[in-house]
Amino acid sequence: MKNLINFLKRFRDLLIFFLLQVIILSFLFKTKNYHNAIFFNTSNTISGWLTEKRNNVVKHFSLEGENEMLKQKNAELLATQYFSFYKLQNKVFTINDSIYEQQYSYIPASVIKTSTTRRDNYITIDKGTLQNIHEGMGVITNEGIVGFVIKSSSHYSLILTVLSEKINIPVKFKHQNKVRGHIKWDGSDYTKVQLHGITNDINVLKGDTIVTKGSSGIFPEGIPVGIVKKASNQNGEITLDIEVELTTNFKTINTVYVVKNMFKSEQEKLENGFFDE
Amino acid sequence: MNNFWIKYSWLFILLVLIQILVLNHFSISKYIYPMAYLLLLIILPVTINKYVTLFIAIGLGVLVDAFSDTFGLHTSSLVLIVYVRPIILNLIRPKNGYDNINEITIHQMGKFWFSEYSIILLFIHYLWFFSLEIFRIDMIGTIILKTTLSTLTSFIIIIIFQYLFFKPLKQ
Repeated sequence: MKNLINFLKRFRDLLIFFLLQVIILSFLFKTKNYHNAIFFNTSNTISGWLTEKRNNVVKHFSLEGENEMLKQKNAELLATQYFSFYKLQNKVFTINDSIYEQQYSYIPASVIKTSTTRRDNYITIDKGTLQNIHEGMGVITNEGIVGFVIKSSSHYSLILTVLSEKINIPVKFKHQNKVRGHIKWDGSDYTKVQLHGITNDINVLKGDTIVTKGSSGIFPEGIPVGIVKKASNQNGEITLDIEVELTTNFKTINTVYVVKNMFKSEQEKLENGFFDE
Repeated sequence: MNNFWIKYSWLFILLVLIQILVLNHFSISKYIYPMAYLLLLIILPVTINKYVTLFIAIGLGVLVDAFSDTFGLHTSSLVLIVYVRPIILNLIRPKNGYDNINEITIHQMGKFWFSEYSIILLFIHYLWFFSLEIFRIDMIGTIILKTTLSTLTSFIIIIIFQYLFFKPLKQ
């Protein structure tokens, strides 16, 4: 007993050090593994508030680019309006279409913090549970996908972007519907991700567009992800090494849309019920 | 001593604000992550109670973590620094000890000693930080490169702060 007390006295500092490290690192690795932030982060009220204040100052520097992008998107949308079309037949009729039902709606939000240099990159947006944003929702921009919400407070949400170690997003080729794989970031360049799971019998061309598969209901089908930059086969392996250039620029990202899937609970209920039994 | 803590509180607020508002958003290269707030642990007196240091380190770490979405990485590295700082101070003890030294500044300790001391601490901090962040053996090259470049950047910032906020000794 005396020996034990002596031992504890001698290594007290080391023991305190190990104990603290275990506590702190358990927070860290829980966040890494389960996509669920439990440590303080920028979706908290106070840190979110200060981050937003900072963004209110800095955001003016990127207004010009943002305006240019909005103008372009506006022109695109204008071109799809009915008055942009020349009537080929004179008969006027309306169709009350009942074969379509809205599945996705989009909540616009501003990015108040972004990062591209860490191993797992997060962005913070200025909308939270008060605007019906919840954990697990997908996030996109006009150009492509961003990631998904991992934590939201009443006014702010934290988003894990595709620039992260543990994120796998199922994707497919735009013009070859059957060719499917998933993308993953290797941590080196924030403009490029790697496409895995494409076998070498498939003809992959430079410039092919990769879009989301939309099977899990987080992203709608066909949201652009990137463009194939390089496809090579190393040492006769069965899968190809494909490098994809992301269409989203995470450094200048400003406005995002949070995807709300109205069928999500239905799909989850069905799938869970099926696998439980 | 009282004077030191008043100055320290001001420096604490200033450095934390600089870290979370400016340096965290510094994204010129993915190899460089400057951390000026480490100055706060570097300048603590030699004779300070280690539990006070631990308290400062955890407070500082949680604060910086909350604003940079690192989920405990900063806190963990700072706790390590609290543990190794007395060991380092012992290892590079000057010839006449720390007897007439009340604060660790570049003016009190000399350029060479201060550089050696802060580079060792910065290197340990960054090595722990990036190893935990990347957490892969096959990326060891990247970890070392990130550690070295970030250490040098932070060292330069810390030296600048030393000359800005600490007066030279009166001869």
